[in-house]
Amino acid sequence: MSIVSESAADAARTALSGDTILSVKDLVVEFPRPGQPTNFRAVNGVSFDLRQGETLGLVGESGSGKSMTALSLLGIVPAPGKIIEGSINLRDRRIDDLPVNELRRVRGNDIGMVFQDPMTGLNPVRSVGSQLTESAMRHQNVSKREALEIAYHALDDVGIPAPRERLQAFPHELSGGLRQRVMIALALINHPEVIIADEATTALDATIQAQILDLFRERLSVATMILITHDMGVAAEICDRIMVMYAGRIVETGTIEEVLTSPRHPYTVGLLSAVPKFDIRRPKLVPIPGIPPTAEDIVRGCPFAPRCRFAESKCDDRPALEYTDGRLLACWNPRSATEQPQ
Amino acid sequence: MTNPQDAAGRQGNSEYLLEAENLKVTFRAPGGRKLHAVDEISLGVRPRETVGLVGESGSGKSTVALTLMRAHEPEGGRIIFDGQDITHLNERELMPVRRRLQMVFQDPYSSLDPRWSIRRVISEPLKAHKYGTRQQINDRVAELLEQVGLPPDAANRVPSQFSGGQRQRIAVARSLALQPSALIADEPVSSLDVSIQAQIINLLRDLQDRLHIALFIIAHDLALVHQISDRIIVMYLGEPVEEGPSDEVVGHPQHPYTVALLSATPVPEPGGDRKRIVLTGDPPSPIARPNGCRFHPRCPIVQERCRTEKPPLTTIGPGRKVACWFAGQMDPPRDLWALQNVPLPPGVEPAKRASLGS
Repeated sequence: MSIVSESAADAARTALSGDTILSVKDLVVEFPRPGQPTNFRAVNGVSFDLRQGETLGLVGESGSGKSMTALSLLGIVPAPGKIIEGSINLRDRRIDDLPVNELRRVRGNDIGMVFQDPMTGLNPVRSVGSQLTESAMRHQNVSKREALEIAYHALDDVGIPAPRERLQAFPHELSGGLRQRVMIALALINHPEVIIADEATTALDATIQAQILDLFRERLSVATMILITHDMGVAAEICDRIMVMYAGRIVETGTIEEVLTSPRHPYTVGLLSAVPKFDIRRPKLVPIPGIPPTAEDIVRGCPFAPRCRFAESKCDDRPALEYTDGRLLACWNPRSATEQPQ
Repeated sequence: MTNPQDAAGRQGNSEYLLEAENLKVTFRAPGGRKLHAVDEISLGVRPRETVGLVGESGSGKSTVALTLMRAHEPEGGRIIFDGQDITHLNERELMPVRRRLQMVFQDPYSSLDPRWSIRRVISEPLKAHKYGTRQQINDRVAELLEQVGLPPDAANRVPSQFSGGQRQRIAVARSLALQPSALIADEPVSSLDVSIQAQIINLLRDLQDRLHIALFIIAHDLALVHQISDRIIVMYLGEPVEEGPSDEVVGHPQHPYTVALLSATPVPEPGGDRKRIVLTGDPPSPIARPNGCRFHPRCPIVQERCRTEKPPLTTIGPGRKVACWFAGQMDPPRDLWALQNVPLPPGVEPAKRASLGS
């Protein structure tokens, strides 16, 4: 048992003003709509900067475009989807229009990815060791022996007991928690500048999720990371900054404290009120009425307006993502900063 | 007095509508070994009450649900519904029970036939139980759709035209068709988005208020179970480790596993230096269970005794039970928000609790 007393490290907080590592500008990802003249915009004009040492949470529900944004960063948007507009820069280098072989180098060297389901992120017919050594040899110009040693340390680093023996193991021989640790080891083995974790703990049980979040906090507190999650609670545990996405757009950004204590966008307010908290008064949950727009819907104006209690006629026009009292918001009618979430 | 009928028309002496006594379910694992899915669990759900069963994957909670529905044969123990022992009833004898005991499943994508119209989905139980004429059935379908907040024209559409949350509403409507007195819901919201989960939880709460059904809800999310349940049972590796009124279990957890589960639940609250207990290792396999207390290999306060002697589920207060030799000796390591004010259960001294990690 270990007891962790620090949340996201202070080091990471002070690094909020650090160098921009990754810069995304006006990203648009489209999918063709069968039998319709217009495409579906899964990601619709997303811009953000990721700074050195920060953990940025990308929070949203299914269909919000959060995973598609992450896949764009790696150049692996599934066909027939395509990046239509925008640019992605890793430091000073544009990476969204690289040829495949160079992109591959970026994926291994510069950006490490942890997927939700380790069974799909790992090769089921190859041992853990061979997958780790392959990645190390491809990206680090080392011998097989050296790679094996690197693989051993990678497993040891993510808290896998008996790492030497685990190198021989196949993914199916490991528990869900251990598999996710192997995925993390694989993502970290070449010391990438940026780590992207897409719902990395969603498939895990609560006590195992706590272990992985603990690992993130201990090992990755100074890493530059994008954490994609639907769970505001998970984001609260390890993120420095949060971007809330809805229908392919960013609707609110702020530090974790800002977003949790004074959410401004009605969707963020709604998300927080819909989650059960341990409260003996057991206030009735406040659901967000209706459902998010689907790929078939053509959205005009604010995409959240049909579900929004505060929608007005001006919400028929699309609100831009702008600074409002120091918070980046896309809303004509934000909740006031002093108003408490229910 | 034998078999008196109470005001609600129930038979028997038990206060419970749905009851399991020492239920035991095993499966045959590869190699001829026994998988102990559920071992000696007893539970009772009173009329109009909500009982929540919490556990992680592999804890046996879904097996409990399916066994209560008689989809698995128990190796031992009894299932009693409304005073009647239904453990060994055959399908024909079960028909009247099935009418009154219904189930909602986790995944509304696989629990609804994709080719059937919603009318057919909801009216199937009505037809199977010879509810009435076609007109009466159609009226009932319309009434049910309204109860779960769907428009009447939904009846003519097929499941693929609905979102996950709407499909779960349809599944709830189907389960209510025969006016059951008890409903078993196995992870009814875990496949849904956060904003939609609250809709379904509130729907279940409303329906229970209006229709006075007993609800047995199974979930991995302790916060969610606390939100909806009157009483909570916590399960680990096929066995109950703690049970009691919801606020007490969450406010004053006695078993170290409950404490760990509580501490592991991420909550969207800003926390400067939040402390948490992180259990090491994975839950053991139900094929090779550890001796003594099943939880001892992961227990933060394990003692020698726990490795060899299995602690019995012991009553420590009204409706309050725990299976731990050192119950109540581990405090939740962080503030539990609004739960600070829960009165201590009788017989529990706050002074004897050693606070961990401080």
